[in-house]
Amino acid sequence: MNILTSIGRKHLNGHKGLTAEKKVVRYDPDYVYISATDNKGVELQDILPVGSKVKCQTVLGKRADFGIPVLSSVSGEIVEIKKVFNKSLLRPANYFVIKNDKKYETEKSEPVTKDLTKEELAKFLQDHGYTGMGGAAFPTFIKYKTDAKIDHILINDVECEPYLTTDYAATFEEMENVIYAAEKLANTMGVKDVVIAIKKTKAKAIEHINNCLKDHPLIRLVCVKDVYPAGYERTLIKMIFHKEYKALPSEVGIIVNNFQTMAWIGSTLRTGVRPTSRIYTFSGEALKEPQNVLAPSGTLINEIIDNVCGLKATKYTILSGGPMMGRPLRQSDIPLAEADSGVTVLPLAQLEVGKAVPCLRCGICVDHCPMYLQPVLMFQALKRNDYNAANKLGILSCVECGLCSAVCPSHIELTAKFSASKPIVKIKTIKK
Amino acid sequence: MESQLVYTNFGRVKSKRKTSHIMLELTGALLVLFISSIIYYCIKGGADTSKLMLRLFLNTLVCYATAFAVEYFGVFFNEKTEIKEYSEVMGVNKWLVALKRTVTNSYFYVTPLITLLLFPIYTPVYVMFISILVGELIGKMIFGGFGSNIFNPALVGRMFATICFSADIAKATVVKVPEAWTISTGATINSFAQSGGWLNSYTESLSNLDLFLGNYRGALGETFAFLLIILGIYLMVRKVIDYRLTITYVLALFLFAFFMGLTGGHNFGGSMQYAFRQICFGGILFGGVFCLTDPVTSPVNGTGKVIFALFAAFGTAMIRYFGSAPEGVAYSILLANMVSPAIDKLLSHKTNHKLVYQYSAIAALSLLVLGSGIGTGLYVKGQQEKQEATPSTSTSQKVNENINVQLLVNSDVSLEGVIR
Repeated sequence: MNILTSIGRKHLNGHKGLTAEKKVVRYDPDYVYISATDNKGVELQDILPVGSKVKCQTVLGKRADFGIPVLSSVSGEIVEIKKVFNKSLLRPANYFVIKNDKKYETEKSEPVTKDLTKEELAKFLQDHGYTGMGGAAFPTFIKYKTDAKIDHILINDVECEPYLTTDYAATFEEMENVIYAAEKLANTMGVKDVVIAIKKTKAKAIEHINNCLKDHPLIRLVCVKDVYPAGYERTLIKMIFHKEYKALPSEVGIIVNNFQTMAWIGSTLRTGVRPTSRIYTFSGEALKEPQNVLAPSGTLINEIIDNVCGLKATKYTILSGGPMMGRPLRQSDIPLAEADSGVTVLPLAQLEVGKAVPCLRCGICVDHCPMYLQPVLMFQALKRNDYNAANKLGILSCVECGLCSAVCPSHIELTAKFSASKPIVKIKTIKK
Repeated sequence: MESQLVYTNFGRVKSKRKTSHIMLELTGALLVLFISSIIYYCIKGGADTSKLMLRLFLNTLVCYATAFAVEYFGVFFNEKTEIKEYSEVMGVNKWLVALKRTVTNSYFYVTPLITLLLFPIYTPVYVMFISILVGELIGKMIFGGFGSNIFNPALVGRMFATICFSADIAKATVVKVPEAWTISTGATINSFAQSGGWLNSYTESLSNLDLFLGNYRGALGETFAFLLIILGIYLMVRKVIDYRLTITYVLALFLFAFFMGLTGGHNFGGSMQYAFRQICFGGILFGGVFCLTDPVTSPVNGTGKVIFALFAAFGTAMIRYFGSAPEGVAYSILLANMVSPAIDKLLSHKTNHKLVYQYSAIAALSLLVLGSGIGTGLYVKGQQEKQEATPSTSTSQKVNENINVQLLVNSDVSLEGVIR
């Protein structure tokens, strides 16, 4: 281990046992809520009118920013378009409300059997509206619409966030699709090496993957250390390929896809059906029965909590995502998006609030930051409201992984401070 | 009871290790050192044991009382608004809140203990009082309390005392030294080594084993080399102190002394022994384990820490072998504290893109330390040859005479500490 690098040092308690070995439970909501805006809050183009009949996979509208379609996740009828709280915009925004007839009819497209060219592949990915399912919802087709020479495709099945087990659960069900997609995409991109990355502590999943990979020499399995944030693509590429890049991994000839994104691509290529329901992990000590729930995207969080899991604690907090990167919610009637991996519900008694003591500048946050930043110096700059200094220290590069807050011996909430200050830093530095 | 959703962005994943644990463990290590020095002086003190212990007791009392008073009022004035808010919300008297914060947020118990260990046992009480007052007030509270100070508070106090009261510390000659003591003369062993031109050790009477175990006098904490090494390793393993600081500092000084010995005319084994002795006496181990590693005053970055330690080691070596003072640990650590914010500033933003600069900075500084080690050896040897050419003014003879005179008279002894 290099004394100067700062990745791969912190092992976190995963709490994955709550849901890891449980069977996936199916939940069918009566209504689903699909966002009628893109991630920046701009209205979709060519919106279907209220009252139209839809099937799974029917195009509801097109996103203005990337031109990718937004698909219905159930079959039924659009009842209305109304304002619902959008957790990525942090304000109410327009949502399609679709009444679910629970038949799940799909608008089937043709299975793809022939070899695709690069252009056809990008168009295929764009037309089917794939966005990354690891959390950031980055449009998948942009990764493949590149002129750079691609040497590796990396399938990210690491899932380092505590509590979440959605990729782990999917591993046992979707290997066939993943292999199909990986070989197809590798063929198109001229890639000779496809890597599936997983934590080496997940023995059962490793065994399963190894069994599935027996006749597929193109794909290999790589086990990484059980550290946080091993699943962050920058860290993962550093750990596996020992390479660093500036903005996108294609700069160093690597394309990274989430495991479930790959599975969905494989399913569409193989059968022509693009899945619209995904596995959400509902976990945390405040739930009676933590579960992996297979639900159509657009299901409300409180429906699943009330109907599937049940609440145990009297005072609790709901996080969209895991405890490290997840954002706390102010209300629970919020629809799940396709990119969400799960919901963590923690009892308030488990949290530690208001016990921070002064920073002793020990530098442990600097030793752990996956972006090689100096959280302690940024925090000191923000404390004296010096937004220019914070910008110079690179606060806008912070990915809010939450590791600095987790390792701080003084229990200072660094990440919360950074995420609250980033918009102010942006405004203050644009003016100059 | 109705269940209730609470919005909070705080406290989800937290490390089990707390700052208070770190501070308590550090205090524990310091206490081990303190208690072993008490035991040592109880055994070796002879007829003067009661005198020594009384003075030490008074010093401890004064140190802690002064430190607590300064920190208590410092905390009260520094955190006025927070204390007021807290006492209004919780309904607690604000003086009590300040009292709690002095213990839990300001850790008043560490600095006086380090200060005590930096002085020799028979230091006058008023010297102790003024040095802890200066250290706490000017070294710590004026900057805003724990976490905001630039200089190591204990060393600030020690330096103030060294500059203002060197005579008073040296004049503390009440105690007669029994013959059983290994070194039975007034000055400290480093000033012997200095007057002897460093290379020919005039401390031969002190065997390697005695030096290693700490069977001689000096400042309270610094003599027990063996114990310091064990405590240092324990604290490094427990991650109370940063291993990069201590190891770089001690190793750099060891190599400096080793190369100095080689070029100064020793053979390989002799140089090893010389370097070992150089590390063991003086405040290098104590400074490297307890003073240099103060996280508040060292850089936050890993590379920064290595550079900081190399800088401090270079300073120590230069002051020790060329300066008028026989020791340079405290001076050099304070100098390094001064550059630590600059190191932080240079090594900021995405540091993984500047690895080449980082490695070359470390390499350049290491070369500087080793090269100056070689140079110092040659210089000291040259000086000695010059002196030997004119035997009548030889320092060595002078020193020998001095020792003889002092031994004959069995004179009163100065108790000047080694860390200056």
